[in-house]
Amino acid sequence: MTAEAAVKTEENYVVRVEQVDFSWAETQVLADCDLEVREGVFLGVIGPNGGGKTTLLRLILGELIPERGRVTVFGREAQNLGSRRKLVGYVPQRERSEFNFPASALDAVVMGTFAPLGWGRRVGPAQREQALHTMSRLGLADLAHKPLRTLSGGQQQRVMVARALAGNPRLMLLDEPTVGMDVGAQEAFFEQLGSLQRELRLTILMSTHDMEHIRSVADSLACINHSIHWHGRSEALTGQTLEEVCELGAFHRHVETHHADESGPPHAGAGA
Amino acid sequence: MTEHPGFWQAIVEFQFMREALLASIIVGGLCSVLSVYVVLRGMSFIGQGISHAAFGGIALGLLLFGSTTAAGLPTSLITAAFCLIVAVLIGVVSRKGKVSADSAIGIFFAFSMALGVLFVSLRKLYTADLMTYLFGSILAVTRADLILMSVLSVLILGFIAFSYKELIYYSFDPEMAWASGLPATVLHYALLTMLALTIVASVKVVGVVLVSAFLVVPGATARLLTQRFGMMMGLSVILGVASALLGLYASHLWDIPTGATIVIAQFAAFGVAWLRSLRGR
Repeated sequence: MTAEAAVKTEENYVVRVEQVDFSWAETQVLADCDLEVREGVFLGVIGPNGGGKTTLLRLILGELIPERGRVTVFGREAQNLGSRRKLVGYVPQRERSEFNFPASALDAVVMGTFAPLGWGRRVGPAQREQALHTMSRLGLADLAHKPLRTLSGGQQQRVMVARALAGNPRLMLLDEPTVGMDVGAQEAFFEQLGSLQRELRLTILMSTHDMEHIRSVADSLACINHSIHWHGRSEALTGQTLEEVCELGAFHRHVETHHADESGPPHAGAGA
Repeated sequence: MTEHPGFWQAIVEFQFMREALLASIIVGGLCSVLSVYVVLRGMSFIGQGISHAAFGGIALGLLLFGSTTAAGLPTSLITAAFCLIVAVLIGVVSRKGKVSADSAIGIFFAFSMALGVLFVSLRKLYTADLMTYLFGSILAVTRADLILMSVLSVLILGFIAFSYKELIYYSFDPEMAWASGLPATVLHYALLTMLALTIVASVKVVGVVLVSAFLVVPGATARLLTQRFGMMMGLSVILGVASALLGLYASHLWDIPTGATIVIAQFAAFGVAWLRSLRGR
């Protein structure tokens, strides 16, 4: 049956974004976006600030509902994931998280195990063990019993990542997780995340400005600037492509010179 | 201060004093459990809104059923209905619409109080009962009130015990709790409902005006003293119950309304904790 075939095709994709439009109030942020992510793929989502990276992740999370088009995750509409929501781990941008809460780093990570455990069931040694294990994989074991608010920004971010991982998700959505980390911590973080991803065969969508690191760890990249301008294997993305399709002036040095070169045509236009 | 046999003797001798003691322990304990969530979730204005909304329900109850002593339970039920409706309206309007929670609270509690004034003026009687509800009177607490308070406490504390971890995550970060797969909407309304029912259980003892302090001060004080959630809950309950007992004692000693003495005791504890937190910096 064709219906069955359609379901099967969808099952191959963990995330499917089809012809999606989305606006904040009057401003269109995403137009005609298409994106497909297969199981076990680490996708880096790059693009300028305000280009729609966070919006795309929140649409996939099901927190936002597309104006047009469809977002499916694990074969279901993202906003109606139901119990499959437990398969998704999400780390929001740093400024959207709350850290002034009476909890240790371990307490915060254990929260990641709550939903899979089920309502009314008590947290036991197994959940604590799981949380500690995840923390040690991210180099956080020594911080387990420190109050959350006394950690550095980068450490807090890694705690949020550990919390999302502690629930054994199949899909991780990470929104600029390295913001607030120092350079050494960023490098370690990308390495740890990459090895976890390969080992657990996780599907990861991660938005970032850190081109250098994301290229070395992600299987593929998607450039977003109001729509998906480019989507392909990491090594296939050249600086030239970046400049041309993304106009990533915010974080790509070459683009500045490129912009300077481009200052010609508008003059010509004005003269005409 | 040494012995005040008057207080203990009164407890031993008089039924109404034992009931007052029990009522202040229940109210002090229950409110301080809720105050932990109120403080962490920044719901103190909602608490104030719902407690003032109770005034509308009380006034309607008195209008329909007359004196409180004759009709404690129906009045309490109407008050509960008022509080729940206002709590849900605040929740719905602030979640769905383009009105901030802050505005929604301001709008609905003022409306409910206006209804209260309307009902009071319709009654056209001087209402000492109403004063009881506005400022609280522990000695006016009846056996039926105590039963209602106990039933509500068991329900509320039972739900909190059952949903302990879910409520922790929700208080920490509602959005992330939802994203992790927890039923955040259910938890949102559950917290509002528990807040409303706690207010209903407490309003006769401490009054419409002061109940919001019971829902903030113990939790805020405990928050200054610890960085652990469980500890915060424990300290809040200890502070809440201790202030209630101290307040009842002072109230008996100096013949001052109990609600006021308890809040003053809570405030004293908060002041000490705050000064201590300044020194720790």
